[in-house]
Amino acid sequence: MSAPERFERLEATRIVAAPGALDEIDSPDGGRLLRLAPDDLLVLPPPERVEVADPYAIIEPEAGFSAAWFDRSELARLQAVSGWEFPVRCPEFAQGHLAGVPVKMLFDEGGVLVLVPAVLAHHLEERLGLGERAE
Amino acid sequence: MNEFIEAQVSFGWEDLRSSYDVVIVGGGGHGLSTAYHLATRHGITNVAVLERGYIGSGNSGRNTTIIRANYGIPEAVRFYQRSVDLYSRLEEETGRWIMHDRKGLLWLVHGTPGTRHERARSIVNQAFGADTVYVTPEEVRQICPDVDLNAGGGEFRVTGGSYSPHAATARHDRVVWALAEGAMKRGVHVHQRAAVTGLLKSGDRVTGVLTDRGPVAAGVVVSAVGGHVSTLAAMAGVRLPIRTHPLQAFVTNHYARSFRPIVASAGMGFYVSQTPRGEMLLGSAIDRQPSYSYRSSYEFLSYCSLPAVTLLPFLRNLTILRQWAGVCDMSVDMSPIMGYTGVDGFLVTTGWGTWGFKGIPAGGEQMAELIATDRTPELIAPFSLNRFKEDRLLFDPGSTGTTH
Amino acid sequence: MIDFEGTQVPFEEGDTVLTAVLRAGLWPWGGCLCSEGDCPYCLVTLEGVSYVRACRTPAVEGLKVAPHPSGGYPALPSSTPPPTGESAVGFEMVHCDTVVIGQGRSGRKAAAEARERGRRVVTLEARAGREAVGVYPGPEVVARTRDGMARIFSAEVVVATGSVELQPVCPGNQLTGILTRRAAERLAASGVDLGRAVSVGRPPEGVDCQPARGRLVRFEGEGTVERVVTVDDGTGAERTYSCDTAVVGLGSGPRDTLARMAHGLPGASSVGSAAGCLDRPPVPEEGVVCPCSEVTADDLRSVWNRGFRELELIKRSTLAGTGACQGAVCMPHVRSFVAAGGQELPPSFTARPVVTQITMGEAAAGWYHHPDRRTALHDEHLALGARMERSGGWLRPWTYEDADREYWAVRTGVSICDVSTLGKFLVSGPDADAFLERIYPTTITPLRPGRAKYVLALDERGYVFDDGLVCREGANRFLLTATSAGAGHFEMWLRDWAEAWGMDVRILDRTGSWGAINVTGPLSGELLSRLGAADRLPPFMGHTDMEVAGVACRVMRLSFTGEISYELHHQASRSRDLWRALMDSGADLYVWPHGLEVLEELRLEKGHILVGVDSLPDSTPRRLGHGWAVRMDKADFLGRLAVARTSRMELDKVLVGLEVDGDPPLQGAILRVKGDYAGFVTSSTWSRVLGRSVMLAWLQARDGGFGGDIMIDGRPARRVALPFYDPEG
Ligand SMILES: Cc1cc2nc3c(=O)[nH]c(=O)nc-3n(C[C@H](O)[C@H](O)[C@H](O)COP(=O)(O)OP(=O)(O)OC[C@H]3O[C@@H](n4cnc5c(N)ncnc54)[C@H](O)[C@@H]3O)c2cc1C
Repeated sequence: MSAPERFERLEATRIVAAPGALDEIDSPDGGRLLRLAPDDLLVLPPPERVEVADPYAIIEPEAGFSAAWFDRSELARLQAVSGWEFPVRCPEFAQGHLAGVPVKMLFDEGGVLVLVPAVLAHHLEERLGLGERAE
Repeated sequence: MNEFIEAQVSFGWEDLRSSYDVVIVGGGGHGLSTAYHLATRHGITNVAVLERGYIGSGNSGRNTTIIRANYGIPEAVRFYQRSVDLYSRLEEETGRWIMHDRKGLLWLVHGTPGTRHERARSIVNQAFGADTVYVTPEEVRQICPDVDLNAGGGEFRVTGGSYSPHAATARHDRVVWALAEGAMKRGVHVHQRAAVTGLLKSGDRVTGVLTDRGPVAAGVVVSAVGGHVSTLAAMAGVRLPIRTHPLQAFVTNHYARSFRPIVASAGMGFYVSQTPRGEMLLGSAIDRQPSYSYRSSYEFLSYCSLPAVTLLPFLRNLTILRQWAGVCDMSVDMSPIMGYTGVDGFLVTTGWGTWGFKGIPAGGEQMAELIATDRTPELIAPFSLNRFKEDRLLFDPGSTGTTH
Repeated sequence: MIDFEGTQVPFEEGDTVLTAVLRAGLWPWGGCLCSEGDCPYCLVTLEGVSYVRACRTPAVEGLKVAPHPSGGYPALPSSTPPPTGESAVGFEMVHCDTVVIGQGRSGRKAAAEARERGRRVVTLEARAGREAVGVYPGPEVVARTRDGMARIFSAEVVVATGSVELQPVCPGNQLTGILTRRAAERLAASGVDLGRAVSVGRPPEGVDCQPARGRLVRFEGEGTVERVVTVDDGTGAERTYSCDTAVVGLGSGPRDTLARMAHGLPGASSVGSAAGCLDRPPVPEEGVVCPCSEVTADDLRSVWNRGFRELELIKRSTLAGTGACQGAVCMPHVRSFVAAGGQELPPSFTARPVVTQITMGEAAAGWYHHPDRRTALHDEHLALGARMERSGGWLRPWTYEDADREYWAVRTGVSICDVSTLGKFLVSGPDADAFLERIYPTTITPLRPGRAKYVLALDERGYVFDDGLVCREGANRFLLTATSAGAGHFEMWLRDWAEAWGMDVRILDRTGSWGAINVTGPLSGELLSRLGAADRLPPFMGHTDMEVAGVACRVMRLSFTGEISYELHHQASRSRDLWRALMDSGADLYVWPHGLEVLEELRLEKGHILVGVDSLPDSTPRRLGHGWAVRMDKADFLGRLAVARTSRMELDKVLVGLEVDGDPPLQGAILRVKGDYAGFVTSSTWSRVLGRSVMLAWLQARDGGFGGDIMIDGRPARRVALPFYDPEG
């Protein structure tokens, strides 16, 4: 059983700053940088500290997303409710809709981490039928 | 032979002349109604309606034919109620069967804010002559037993609504034809396949039109070109607060007629009625992206069908026959724009957007009076183009966003 | 066995309902069957779904089939809601490079070629249960398969749908026992006994039948075809052929509805017969032309003579081509009819989806209702018995089913309210001050860190579309709030203007990341001090960062309710802890949450407007009585030009506060002055604390002023200054 049962609120750090300053940030050890927009970066998990070469950078704990990990074997099922085509290369980060809910997806060799706005997470759980098999 | 084959109307097509007192550009409902009322009410018959396709080829032949006056602001209720009244007399007046059917409209809401809104609607309606009443869920059930009051397992529970007994439908093509024939019988020329490509001007004054069949001089030019108004008005140097958006609709196959009222839910985003031939006719809001495209989208079928089958479960098994789109002249305040433009000799009747079929009789009647008397009638004075300069807009988005 | 109207019909592997029924010796359908899904003759009702073609339906055990009613339409299905647990329609989105519609010779060839080019190919073939429904911009092809609906997104669409055989138009063409040439071939091959078959035109292959010579004139018989009559065009002599089955090979035309739909879409093409020409049929003279709408050749002539002289006008005035087969049968003949009137063969009318009739239930598959957002406290509200309502795209507690308790908790004790839905935005950057000065109509720069200010948001037309607070966090950093309903749009709006003006700012939406709980009531300070916030609480319109119950909060002191209020902004991951701590520690203060219903009463008593409820889309600050929130001495701000222009005009309507004795008038109740319409009520409530009804209303100017006695529902209304409650604050 490779499908998650639910989305869990994700802990992360959000950095909005001048694009050049975000370009220079290195991936933390074992962590992930998700570039949501040229001026917008999500760091997973929240680093102890982070240097941003922009005095006006907004660096904030991010509690607005819920996330769940789907194994590779689940990809076809997710693709079938997506109007856009998943990337073939890994790792790759993509943003779009799944089952009509806005998501961010981080593709990896082993599967995909799906991030959804926490305020909509229950809809995606329902639409993907998560937790049903557990019942 | 089916009972709907046109067996009354007869057109007498004439040759295009080089000059008319009044040239109306656009052979949709509004252009033809203006011509019809000029001829029948004011004896003005040296009039030509120039239509680039066939008459009714624009939105007047593509709409979902809902006629109602249950608007949210006094000016609109008054105007549309006039049109509702004229519609109910149109068959008698023209002697033509337009399939006018007063079937009533149920406008459903799903929550307290919506309930308050529909109560407010019924108040302003009654104050200005429309018979809309607030209805409880139990009354909804009596008027339309097919509605699932606990729609979506309660997610879209019906908390009430407004009911407008006056609301009706009529066959769109037949309205167009009855008006065209009535005008032609009195001497008005209606020309199909006559596209206006430019305007003739003398100084600041518009003096006629250029067509793909040559120039035509006119005492007055009236633009009634529906979704294509921005281009024509630009030729006269008039800028209009209009954006063009597609609006889609679809019908199912034919079923024995038994579904009476028009049912709408703005909250869920669809409306439905059964046509005289028995098709279920469904529509929703405009496409968000401005465009002149007549292409349909599959998403439209989906986003219109889902709420429909949720609120009216019997629809689930009906088969979809055909979908289509029209392009609508959406004014910023979702109210029509009628009358003077500030350019001599150039009038408009526009901004009919997704709501203009119901306005055809009154719109034409009032425009004709304006042309004949050279004075703006009181009923449409609030709808003048000037309102945008004078900051007297007629916003009424809650009355026509989803149901047209 | 399948159940055909009570008759048990056996079937074999590979049978459709059509082949099984015909083989069983039943022939319940009139008209010339095509067996290819084009004609409207073999319609049946299947498991409650009408307008299903028997030739497209595989026979399966136990299937219940009813023939289409003759001379009428099927009844609307019953209104009973679907049984729960019923299996939903399958749905899938598919991504590929090439879709080939139709797997005849040219379709197979196109698919093979595409595969050779290394393309990922999806093929559709109606006969194999994979039917194209329509081609849409994208390009997107929608199909119905035996598993449900599929939306196929692809770079290329190849339409290879082949040809349609022409139908006979002549007297007797609605009799039973007529087949197209290809139908005869197919049915004979699947073992249907055609009896004595006579063919006109091109004869079928592999079917034992007698070819009739000459041109088809009519079919004769009682219900069933008994004779085929032809004429020799040279001599004018008629010949009659007796038969059990008549087979017509009258030529064909492209099956091009999908091709025409696809035409003009990038990546779309058509191949083979679908791209071919129509064998122009003779001008229809007699007989049914359009079977779906029962339009005869006489009918066509009749409307023509009435001046309906275009294909579209003929279609619309007779309804030919608008029935179940969407013109597949009649269109070639109607086009030929129009051409006989001296015109060229007109193009077919616009091809419209759908070509395969799907049910509305099928169309709804894969679609979802617009998702309501839920705050992190959703479950807490439910546990407290809240009734939830949709509001501004959120599900929010309307009441906790005891409005009295909610109200008095605020006015006399302490209450909490989940206001997480508030729009919350951080703005930082060297241009932050300059940016907000230009965004808002009030002065921003003098605002000190730790202080907040009420602001209106104006559009370019000078109309109020939102309101909120600006809080300064530091030299170049602000927190902005917006209404719950406006929040979704607000970030885009800020970013658009920052970009348009080239302002160096960073903008971050915190709406979903931060929860917010408003603690309000005379005892709110007491409750907060118990949770560790005693001496550091901010002054009115101030904000401080501190821990409350161990949760890091930005505490803002405001008063929307008319009582001392502290809004606690915090990480949404901690909302529940904070909420529970407030409820638990306040138990002996009788803390109780309030919902939107009571909040509306409270704010109304305090005279606060709700943008979107009390404001109209054309509300200028002046009309709203909010002129004080606009500083015209500022050089520039959004909407300034418009405000300057409109403020020179005579004021035509204003939002006013009114009171009446007795019950509150409804929202929308009409104001009258001397019997004339003078405006309407936007919000109203019975004020528990004041003992009268208070409301906001739009009052229209009369004779340039706002005087005169106002009546509402026949009761006198008093115009009063706002706020109604606690004017001294
Ligand atoms: C799907 C849909 C559903 C709708 N449902 C409803 C409804 O239920 N109720 C309702 O009240 N309203 C409805 N409407 C709106 C209504 O159809 C229109 O507002 C109304 O038909 C407008 O009439 P018109 O005469 O102004 O424009 P049209 O009918 O569009 O006529 C304009 C004519 O001008 C012609 N034209 C354009 N340019 C030129 C030119 N340069 N030279 C010559 N001729 C030209 C066009 O060919 C066209 O025939 C709906 C619209 C659509 C698209």
